Amino acid sequence: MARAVTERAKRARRQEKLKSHNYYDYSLLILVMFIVAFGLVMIYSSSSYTAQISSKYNNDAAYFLKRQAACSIIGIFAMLAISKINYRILLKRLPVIRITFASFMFIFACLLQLVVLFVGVDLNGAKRWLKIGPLQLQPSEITKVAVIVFTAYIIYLAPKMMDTFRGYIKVMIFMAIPIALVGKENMSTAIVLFLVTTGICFVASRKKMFYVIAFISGTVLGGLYLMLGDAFRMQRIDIWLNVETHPKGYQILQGLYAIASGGLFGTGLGESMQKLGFIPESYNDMIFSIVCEELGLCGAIIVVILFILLLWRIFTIAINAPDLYGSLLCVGVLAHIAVQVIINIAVVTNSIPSTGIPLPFISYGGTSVVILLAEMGMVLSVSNQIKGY
Amino acid sequence: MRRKKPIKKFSLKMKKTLIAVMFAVVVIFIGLLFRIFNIIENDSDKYTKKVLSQQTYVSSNLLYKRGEIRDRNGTVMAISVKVYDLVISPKTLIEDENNRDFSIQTVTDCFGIDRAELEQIINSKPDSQYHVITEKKGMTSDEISAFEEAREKAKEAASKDSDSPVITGVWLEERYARKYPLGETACNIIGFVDNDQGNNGIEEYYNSELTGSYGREYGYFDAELNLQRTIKPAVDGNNIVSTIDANVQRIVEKQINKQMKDMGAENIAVMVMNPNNGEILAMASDTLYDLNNPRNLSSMFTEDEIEHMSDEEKATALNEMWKTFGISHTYEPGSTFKPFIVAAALDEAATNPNATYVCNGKTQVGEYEIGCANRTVHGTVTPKTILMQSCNLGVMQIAAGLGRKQFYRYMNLYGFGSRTGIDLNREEKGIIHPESELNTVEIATSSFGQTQNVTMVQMLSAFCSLINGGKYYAPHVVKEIINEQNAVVKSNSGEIVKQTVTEHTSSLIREYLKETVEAGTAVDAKVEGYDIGGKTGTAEKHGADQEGNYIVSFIGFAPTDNPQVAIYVLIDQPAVDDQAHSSYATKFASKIMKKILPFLGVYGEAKSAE
Repeated sequence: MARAVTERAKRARRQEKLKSHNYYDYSLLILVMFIVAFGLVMIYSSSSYTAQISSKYNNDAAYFLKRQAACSIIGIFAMLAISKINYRILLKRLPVIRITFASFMFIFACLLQLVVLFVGVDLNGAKRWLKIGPLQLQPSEITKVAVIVFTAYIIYLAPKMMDTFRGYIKVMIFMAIPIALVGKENMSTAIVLFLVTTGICFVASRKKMFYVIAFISGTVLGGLYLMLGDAFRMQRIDIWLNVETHPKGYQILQGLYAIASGGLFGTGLGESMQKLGFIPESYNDMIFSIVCEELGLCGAIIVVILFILLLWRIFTIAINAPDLYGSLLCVGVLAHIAVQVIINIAVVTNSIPSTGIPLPFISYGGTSVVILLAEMGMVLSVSNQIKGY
Repeated sequence: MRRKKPIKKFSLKMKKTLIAVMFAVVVIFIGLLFRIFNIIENDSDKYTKKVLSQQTYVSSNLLYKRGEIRDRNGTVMAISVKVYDLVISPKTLIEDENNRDFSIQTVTDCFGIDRAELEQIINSKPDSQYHVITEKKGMTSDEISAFEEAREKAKEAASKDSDSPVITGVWLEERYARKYPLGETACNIIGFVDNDQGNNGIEEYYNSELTGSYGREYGYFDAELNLQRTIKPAVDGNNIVSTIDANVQRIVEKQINKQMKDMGAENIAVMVMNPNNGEILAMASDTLYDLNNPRNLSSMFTEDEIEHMSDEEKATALNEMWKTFGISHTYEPGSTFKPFIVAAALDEAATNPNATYVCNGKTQVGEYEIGCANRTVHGTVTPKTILMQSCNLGVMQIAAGLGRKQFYRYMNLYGFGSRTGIDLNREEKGIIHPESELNTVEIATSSFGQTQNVTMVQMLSAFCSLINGGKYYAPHVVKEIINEQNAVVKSNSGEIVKQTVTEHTSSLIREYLKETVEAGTAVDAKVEGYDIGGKTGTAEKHGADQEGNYIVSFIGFAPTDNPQVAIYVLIDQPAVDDQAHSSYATKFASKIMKKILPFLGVYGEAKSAE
């Protein structure tokens, strides 16, 4: 008898569960898959020449494509898995160490960042890579997720705190640790981390005035820092302003050549001339210039529209999320993608001084694509908790 | 307990902020697209040009070497050698004031160019970035070594002292130039090269074998902006070994030249072949040109004539000069054709060695009266004496006995009316009577080689089969194709295409033709100490203004018991009052054979008797 009652209760609960969890943002899923596939096509187009002529890459034209495709598949599975787990697990305390999962991720990321400073693999003069067996990963990408998860968590604990400037400072004190650790080797990613955190805080705060003041004073201070600072940073400004004549403006100038020669409709997929050795590692941060050369302004517009649609889906989920934490997670992911796309395109078009930020989902980079897909999984998980649809 | 807490929600204020942020992001995106549009709008032309111009700077073609052409003994007949052109950039020289004087001085010192002249070139084209100094084209590596040294020295000095001048705006460009060490020898067989494309002769027919493939030097910039290079090496073309013997060819050409001077003619042509494999040993006509300068018409015309030619006339004249007489000129062969008819009839038992025919000087065929030369009455003749005396009436009767069907079959079997397939372009087919038109008159006239057109190579190839036991070999001028490592890629050792006549018939023909030289019409073809066989020909030329014009010829072989060399000599319209004497050809053939037989390893009896 008692058993029958519990059985019925269980069934009822299961049914309710089914009813309430019937939303899943498939349009976002398909959009993400499409952008990843487009990225693979562009990576193949831009890297095949370099890969083919270099014995470093086994003279295999598909060298970069294969690696990126493998990472993309791992990332897609990770995304699907994460999207089926309730994101509120991040607020649960872990056994034994009794801290929340969000805090754990944050601490773990900081430790990883610390480790890479000592045992990192030196590539192109910067220690950004961690080698575990045959795998190479970039801890700074992991730090990005950890920072989003943790910032959202702190604000979720005390949303009212964000209404004051002190609250922002408190958040930034926490964030200063990973930002500093990342910034030591990789200034560009540190800037992204800073902007993402500030973005979440800005949305969560009811008082905006001090952000405006902070923004203006930050710009002034930053400008002074650059001008009075070390020669290296000053040089970047110099390159930016005199890209055609400065000897170190080479890479950016070649990117501009590519964009300009693409015209409105481009030279055609695979027809880029600039990828033939002129734009170093054109499959990386400069990939958007190859997109412009091969697909023209029209191609660029389509890529930007794809990103706007992607951000729009994340925005909708953030607005409809069942609780504040879910919303803030989505805001964090939205800020992350928006900041990277803007900085990347701005650098490629020489609108701001050069800094190395990959174009999300499209630039070559295994860790980057896996982490971004995992973030999309988080957003999908939030969408999965929306009721009433 | 936690559940009782109210769920914290994303407040309306936050939503509004997020909408504002989203809006700002979209605005920034649009701004960036506008920026792209701006770049395209303002810099498209300028930057597109940059893209195109820098292409060669990073990636460049590597030259391949065109294969050599050698004669059968390894004598080089065509070779590609690396040469250098001197190129200057007047613009750079004018703009680079620090190095200008030094650069100009070095050029004038090293190449012996007049300084004033050079400066005049520079000043006359101040905007040019590429000007080839015409007088300094095609220099050898010796001629440029002084300049290279001076440039290296200057570079070294500049690396120590940055004020030291270097050479700018002047450089050397490498290329391969085609050289023909033998000049005009075998010009029609070798051919020449125009813009990497073979023109005439072996150069044309075997162009794809001789051509290699360009290599490429790829460059790319690595992450530290260092220019990295990888090289896909060029592949040189294959070398070609011809069947031609340059010595024999040269002797033949010399003899033709001498004959042209001594006697003169419209055309004189000679072809020498190995009857046992179809290899052409020499093929020459009186029209020669220097392969190193194939557009120079002076061998055919006087300077005055060339000056008054239109471009069209010049092109026609050049094509005429480049023509390979032996394969492209068609004509009526005359009596040299008779052995083919006799052999066919013997083969088909339409006649036999003891058969007799009567010749009374002339006869009526249809509505025409046909006679022997000078209306000579040969009396009773046999196949042997028909050939020895070159009796038209006799051979007509033999041909009549052969009949239309067999006559036509043998024409095809001998390869008349179709190309021999020699490995040279522009071979002619000639014209024979189609079977349906082979009536009594046509069979009669064809039997002594009139009213049908042939080429020399058709005649000699078929003739070789008559004397070698009936084996028809495809005539060819290339023996072997060998690659850079001297390994044989392809070889043509003589392919038996078909059997024309039987071994027995062949031996009879050899005997008859030997007698023809010993005691018949070709007696002038004799060469002291050699056993020679052959047949003469005196063909009337037909057509307007050809009255009294003849082609006299001799086709022969040596030695008679085991033929090693076959030769065909043709004199078109000898410049004499009475042309109709084959002795012009037989005497000429004798002279040539006497000279070339020892070269070809055929030694006379006199020598073996010693």
